[in-house]
Amino acid sequence: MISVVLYVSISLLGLGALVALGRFVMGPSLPDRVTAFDLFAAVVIGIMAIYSVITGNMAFLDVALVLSLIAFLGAMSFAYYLFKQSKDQNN
Amino acid sequence: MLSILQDIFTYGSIFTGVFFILIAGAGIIRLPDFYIRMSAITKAGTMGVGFILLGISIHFNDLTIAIKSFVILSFMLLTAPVAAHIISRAAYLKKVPFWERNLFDQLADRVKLLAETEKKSRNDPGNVELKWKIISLMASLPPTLGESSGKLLKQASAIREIDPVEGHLAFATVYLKSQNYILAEKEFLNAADKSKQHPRYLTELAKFYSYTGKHKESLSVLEKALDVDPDYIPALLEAGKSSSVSGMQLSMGKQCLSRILDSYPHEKPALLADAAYYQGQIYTFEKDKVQARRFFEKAIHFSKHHSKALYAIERI
Repeated sequence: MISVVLYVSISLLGLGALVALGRFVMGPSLPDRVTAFDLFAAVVIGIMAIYSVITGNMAFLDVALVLSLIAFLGAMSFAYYLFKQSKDQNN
Repeated sequence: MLSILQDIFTYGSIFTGVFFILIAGAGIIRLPDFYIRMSAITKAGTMGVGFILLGISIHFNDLTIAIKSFVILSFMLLTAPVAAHIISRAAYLKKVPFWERNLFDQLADRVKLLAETEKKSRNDPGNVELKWKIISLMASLPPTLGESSGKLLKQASAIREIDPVEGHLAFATVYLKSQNYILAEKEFLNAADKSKQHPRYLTELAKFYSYTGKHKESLSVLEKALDVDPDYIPALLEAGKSSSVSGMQLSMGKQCLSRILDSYPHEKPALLADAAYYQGQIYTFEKDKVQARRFFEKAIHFSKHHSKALYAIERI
């Protein structure tokens, strides 16, 4: 029973990841892709959390923590890059 | 029994989380422009992950797991809004387009107004008023959109070439905006001296003093200004404001404000509302609740949405 519910949730989350990937491919601008990546990271964190329930392995939670950190840093560095770019355009 | 309950809560919150993440997914694929999509994924995505983590900490029933999921969740709650804000700001600066049915972009309106005023000022170089408008518009914009102290100082020196006294005042305003209080005070004093104690410049000096918290100096400068011209309305209002904020010289403040309210009933309603509000504050200082309420009501009568008066009347 428990594993059926968890597998269903993981596949639904996979659908969410596919949708995020769709936006990642479509764009149309770079900020759109960055936010799509943010959502993708959130979905992967959710999948890892549920997977740790299925396997009973708590180590996946640490991976999820690190992943959320990296997603934040990635968004920040892209924002910094965009700032630089728009500054160069103005000058 | 307990384990069934535990399972129900686990499935419940995991499914709620998955549901919210799917909402975020629907938002990111269907919503019309970048800024709206951004808001969808930050809120719904964080909510979804939060519920999933809640579910697994109920399932494991273990302190380590609960702490770990709490750490992940609080980290996401901290970073998601920051990242969303920064990316939206970068996108706005990079001119990522809005939805075509979007109605407001007040920052762009202001930038446009600034450009128009600059153009007008180039065609009419002797007009001091336009240059003041440019200074106040520039100072209200964020640094990335054209405000820079160099440009502001250039406008101020242009004003000084036309009218030296106004120039001192312009420099003082620019220094005040860049929080250089020592230079600002010097320029305000210069303006007051060179104008031979004209009430306008004395009032600006007094405003500066009360802005920096020196209410005593402010009130003594205002007394000087009112000696020169006892009917100068900005000085009267500023005296009332300064004494109502600091609680000093309450009788002088009261006199000034009642002079405005009694002798100039046809002034702008916003100004009269402010005067009545400050009068009410002075009566609050004197613990005269009846009069205070009367003046706060008067302020609301002059301007229906006077938020300070509405707040003050609630607290009496």
